[in-house]
Amino acid sequence: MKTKKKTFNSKLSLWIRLMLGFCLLSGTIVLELKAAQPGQNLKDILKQLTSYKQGQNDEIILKFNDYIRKHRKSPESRAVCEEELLFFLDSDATLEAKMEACRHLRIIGGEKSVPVLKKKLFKKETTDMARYALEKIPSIAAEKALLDALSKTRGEIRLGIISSLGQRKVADAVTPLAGLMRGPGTETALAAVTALGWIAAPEAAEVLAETLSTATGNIKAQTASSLLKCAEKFQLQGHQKKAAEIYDALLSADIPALLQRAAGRGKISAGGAKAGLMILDILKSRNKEMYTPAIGMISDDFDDLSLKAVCNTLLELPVENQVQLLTVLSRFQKPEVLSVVKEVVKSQEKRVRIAALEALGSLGDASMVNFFSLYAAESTGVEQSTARNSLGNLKGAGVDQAVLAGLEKNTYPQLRNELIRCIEERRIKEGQPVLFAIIRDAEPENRIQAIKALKVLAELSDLSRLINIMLEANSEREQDEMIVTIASVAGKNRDPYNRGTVVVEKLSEVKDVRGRAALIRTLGMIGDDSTLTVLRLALAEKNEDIRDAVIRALSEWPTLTARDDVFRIAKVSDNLTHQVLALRAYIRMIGMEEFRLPQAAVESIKAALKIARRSEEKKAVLGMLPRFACQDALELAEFMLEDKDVMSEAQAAVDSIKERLKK
Amino acid sequence: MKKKRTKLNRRQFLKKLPAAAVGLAAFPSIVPSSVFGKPGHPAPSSRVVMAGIGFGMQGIPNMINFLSKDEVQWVAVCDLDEEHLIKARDIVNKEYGNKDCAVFHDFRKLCERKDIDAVSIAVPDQWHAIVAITCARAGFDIFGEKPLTHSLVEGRALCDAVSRYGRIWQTGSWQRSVANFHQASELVRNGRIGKVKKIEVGLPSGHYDFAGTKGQETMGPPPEHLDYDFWLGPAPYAPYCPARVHRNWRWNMDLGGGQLMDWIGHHVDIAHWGMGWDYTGPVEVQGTGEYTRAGVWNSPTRYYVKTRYADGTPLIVAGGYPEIRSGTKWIGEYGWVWCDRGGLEADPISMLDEFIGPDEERLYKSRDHFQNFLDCLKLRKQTIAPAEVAHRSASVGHLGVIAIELGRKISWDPKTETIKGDPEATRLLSRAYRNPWQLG
Repeated sequence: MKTKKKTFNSKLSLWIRLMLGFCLLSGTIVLELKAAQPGQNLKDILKQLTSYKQGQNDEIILKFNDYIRKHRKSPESRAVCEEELLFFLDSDATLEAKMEACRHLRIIGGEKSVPVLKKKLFKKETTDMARYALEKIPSIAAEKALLDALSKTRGEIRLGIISSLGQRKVADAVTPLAGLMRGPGTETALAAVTALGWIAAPEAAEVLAETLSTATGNIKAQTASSLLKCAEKFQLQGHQKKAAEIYDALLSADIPALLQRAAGRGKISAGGAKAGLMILDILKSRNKEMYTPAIGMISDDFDDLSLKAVCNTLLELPVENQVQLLTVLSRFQKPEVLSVVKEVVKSQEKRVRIAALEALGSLGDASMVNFFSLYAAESTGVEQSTARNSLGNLKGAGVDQAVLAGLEKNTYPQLRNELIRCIEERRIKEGQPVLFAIIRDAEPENRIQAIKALKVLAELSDLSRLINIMLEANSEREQDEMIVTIASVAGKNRDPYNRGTVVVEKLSEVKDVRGRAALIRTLGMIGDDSTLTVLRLALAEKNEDIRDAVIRALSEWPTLTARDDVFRIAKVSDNLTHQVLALRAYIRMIGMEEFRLPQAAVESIKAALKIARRSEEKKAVLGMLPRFACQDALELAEFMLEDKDVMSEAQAAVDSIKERLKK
Repeated sequence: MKKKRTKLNRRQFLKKLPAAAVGLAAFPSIVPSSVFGKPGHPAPSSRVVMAGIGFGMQGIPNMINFLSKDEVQWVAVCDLDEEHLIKARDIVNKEYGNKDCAVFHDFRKLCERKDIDAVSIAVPDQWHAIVAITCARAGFDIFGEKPLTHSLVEGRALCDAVSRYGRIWQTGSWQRSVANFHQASELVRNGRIGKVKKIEVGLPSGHYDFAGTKGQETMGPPPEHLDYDFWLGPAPYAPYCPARVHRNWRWNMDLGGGQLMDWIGHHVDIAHWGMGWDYTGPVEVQGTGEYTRAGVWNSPTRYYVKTRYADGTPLIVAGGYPEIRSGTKWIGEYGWVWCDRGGLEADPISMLDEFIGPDEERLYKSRDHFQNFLDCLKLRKQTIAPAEVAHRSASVGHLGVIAIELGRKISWDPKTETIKGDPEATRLLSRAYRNPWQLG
């Protein structure tokens, strides 16, 4: 047995050796032994990929990507994938297929990929795909390959390599790039200067600084831009002095104003504790170009002394810089800032006054309530709205109390109006009883303002009280305003079928026509569908004022439920005003059904056209028709071409429908 | 994959246009007659002279919004597609009733004009960084579209450039200027739901066919009116097909970033706003994505990105997961707040009636995204959606894309903007540009 076993073992050993030999001959032994299965499948996929052309056999890309994504997770199978992809790059596969391989080498490519990719750098057809992978391979060899290619290529290929060296921030590229920067080709020189800005190593900054004094035109501007990048990088690394030197060099160079300003900003940001003084020096200087960047650099941790000094320059600055500085100062809740801004609000320049008012809204406190309300009362336009906003935005304890106190002690109606408005804007709950009191007793314009404010401040529980006030309103205007307020308050009810309940209850109690008509109009504005039956009953009443109120209420109805009501009125009413109101409401309601079956909407539109008595309504209907573009709509619009009064609107509808149908 | 460079050169491109309308012809000594403009317009000294770059999609509505502002004087348009260019030019000329609007093929030429105060940029994502940095260096203030850039490295470069050159930047993340998003964020910021335990951001899934070019993936020569090679710019070369270009480029990962990146600047931006995370980002990101479609539209059709911030709060971003509702939802100790376009909900619902008083933290208020840009430009004041904020919103998506690609959790340091302990992931923070393009 022993002998037999030994013989068997030796046969097995021989067989293994033979197999190993075979694999060695095939040149794939090591990788295949590690991951025979993946390698084999990939080969099959790559075989299919060889002839890949976009738009022809795209399915293979899914298979290919899926395979690599699955197999790049372990180092072993990733190595297999890399090897196969590199082999593939040297095959006669299509360029599109090779690009797909490079997409994966961008992620999994290592040292082994470099020589293969490097070869591809020199050919126009393959240089981009090679860089696509090579630029991302984190090895010195990849950098060396790019550097070598830099010296051996020209034109657009070299531009790509310059770009890659810049993106990789290859410090060893500084010298060759410096050479190209000084060379004859403008495009190459520009690319080299740009790349040096990305590299931003001290050596790069040095060569750029040398070039700054000699370069001209675009090269000079790009050199300055790249130097700015270097300085920014040095600042991030904590080398403020080195950065400041660059900014100084740029500030004394003959470069465009934009770059000068950028250098100025940089210098301030590198200035550390001296930043405040620097800003102050600039604002005191005659260098107006630098005012804007300097003001923009005032940071939140600005020291008090510098802040005070900057405030003192405010009135000496050009108007646009005063405005800019006021916006910046609004961030500083400090008494010295507040007192300066208060002075500036008296400026002769409107823009400055507006900026100061806005700043005061952030800086002020309760003591500013009277100032803002008076300012708003006595100004118009943007100044007025800014004063109102600032009053609404005032922070701190006591502002709300100051508003209410101001209302109590002031008699000037315009000022009181501003304070009432402020109660609404700031939602001062304690102000609600004050508003009700004003409605009873105050000047008419204050009453109207208080009614408006109650839209926001009244609660559902106040509805009955509001209705009573509405019924007793002194004027039609007050009544109209109150109806709007009631509808708005009723809308706060989460139950849409309960919003009109209080009004309906009141309607059953009120007997006089004026009051009933007002309540009916209120129901129209609320639009609680459950109250429609009440309106239908009222429509049957003989009193013309009640019928008029019902038709107006239905014409304003906000939901689709009243569609049949208004259609019926439009169809049968002898009163042209009522007919027009109802028809317009019907047309509006058709438009509300955005997602209705177009053919059904067109049927409704046909019905509207049939009862339209004036061209105005026909035009309104035609204007809506394209929203329901379909064959029926087109036919209807074409039919309307025969109506001389609306011919041009019909043509516009035809064109629009055709356009939409085409899409 | 043979590259056909500049199929349509600038001269050919512009030759059909009236000479007076061509940018260089009009530049710079002639002030457009329309500057003296319509009656009632602001004096030239307070006018903002603007130009636009990119009119294939968002550029037109953005420009129309600016044209509606009295203080704006639009003087030039720039696009690589002649059809877009003419359309944009005609809108401007019709607005002013003249033919003064200058046209540019190459944005670099536009940047040579000295009379422009601001530009509105709405180009495909692969171009965002290069165009914006060039414009910043030209001294223009910028209204730029989201996502801020195509990669994280580009995002940092753009923010640095905007700061370096002292430019005012407004991102097209307009939701910040809409009341319901503002109210929702203010409620969260002021602790109305208590400590936030989780944030869910639901974004769209799949691919929406904006241009009606779905499936048009037969490669062929580009149309004459499009300078396709220039249009590809720094992105890897790929042959032309209609599905790759206008409006739908966003579904290709070389040009855009799929639904995840297309929407990250909206709903994650709002999530950050509510949390006070405008200047930071997650510390951990992991994600899964489904690459179900072969061909040009190769971005994930369904994705789930789970992130964690420094205080431990998780933020989920998902597309195609019905349990994550579209919009932004903050879930806290005492309830939740949710907002989306046209929607604001909360539990308890009474929270929606809560008033944020003057002594609480009131967030930056704007109700007109375009006017906010113009106002800030004049005051040299930060806009409601500055570049740095947009970069941080986008960073969540960029990291999500990387985590999905690698299929593992990534650790991110939002301060240094580096990925910790994962050299492979670090490689994906940027990509090599196709020559001759270079990040400025």
